[in-house]
Amino acid sequence: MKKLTCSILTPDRYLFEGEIQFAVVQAYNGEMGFLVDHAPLISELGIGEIRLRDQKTTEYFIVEGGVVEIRGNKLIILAERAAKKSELDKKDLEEKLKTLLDQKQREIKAFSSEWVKLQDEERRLKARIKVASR
Amino acid sequence: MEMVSTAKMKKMQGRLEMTKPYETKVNEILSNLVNTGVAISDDPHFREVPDARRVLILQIAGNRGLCGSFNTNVIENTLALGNKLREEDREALYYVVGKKGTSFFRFMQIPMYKSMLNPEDKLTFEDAARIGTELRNLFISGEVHEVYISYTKVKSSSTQKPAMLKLLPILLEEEEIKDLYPGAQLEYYFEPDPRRIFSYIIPLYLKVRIYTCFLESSFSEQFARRVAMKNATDASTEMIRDLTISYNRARQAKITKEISEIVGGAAALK
Repeated sequence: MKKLTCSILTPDRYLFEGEIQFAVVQAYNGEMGFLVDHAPLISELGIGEIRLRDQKTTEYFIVEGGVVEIRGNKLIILAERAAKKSELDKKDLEEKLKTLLDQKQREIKAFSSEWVKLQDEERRLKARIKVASR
Repeated sequence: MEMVSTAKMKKMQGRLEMTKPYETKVNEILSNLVNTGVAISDDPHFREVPDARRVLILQIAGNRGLCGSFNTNVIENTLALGNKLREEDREALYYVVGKKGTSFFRFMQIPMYKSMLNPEDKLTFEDAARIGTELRNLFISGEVHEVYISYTKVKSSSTQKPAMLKLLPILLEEEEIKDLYPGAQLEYYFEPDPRRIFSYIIPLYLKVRIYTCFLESSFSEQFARRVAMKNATDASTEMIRDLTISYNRARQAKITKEISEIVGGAAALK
């Protein structure tokens, strides 16, 4: 059976390389799935999870921005930041989210640059927690 | 110190190897994009200023010495370009990274646009990203018209050479791209539209470029230091050998002299 060759790269390291059957990535405004013999495509990535299915196992990753390219059954995910599920600590992340929300509550000035930054951080943390609790 | 440098060098090499595929992929995607015929001429990053007066040179040197001619080579290369620009009546601004570079410029009383320490092995992608954004803003706002990077290029793991790289405006060697992708007319789907991906990938490209320049420089520095330290060790081993021989010779001569004196004295008593 034909498979996709998938690699996940970040500027610092090679996160994943291997053959898979099915991949789901978080594109800029929704998830996008790839099967074998997908047409050539380039897309921007959002903040969210990546699922790589191979037979019965599924691997989870978190990406925060980047691009994905598929061509000739080669899937390349260039992430700005990414991590494996096993590298995430759910408890730690939840605590971080809590302190962040507290801080956000106190800094009431909505839509200020500080607030936007916190909002962004919140999104990142939530996405990480989602992956960590898989 | 040779050992320390060797260890650091190995680490840098590892990081460089991790980054290389990323850089190649970014280049690949960028050239694929260009080949699909997205109008790049109206992108500000490719715009050549006809009368480029102000040129920024980012110089990446080391923080420390004892690494042979590593720092001097980079500085020389930078100044060569700076002088050339001055002859053409253009202004060169220096953005100096590394303590050695900074102190040289200060000593020569050459004004610097900005200076900072080399983050060395603490370098993260975020650092490079910050510099990338800074340079990009300067270029886009028209404050500087061209940006160069003066760094040390790693040609292979044993040869490094100071090099000059034109960062902005971005130049893509089209022939090279066509050689690599004979079937360049490949149809891609873009999600969202090519333009947006383009405007996303260009800053990324710049950041990756700067990041690899930093890594290559650090690697070269450690390599140069290793070689310098190896030479120093070899030279001192040689010196120690010579000195030991001459010391032993002197000692032997003294002993011989004393013995002959004693023998001579004893013979005189008889």
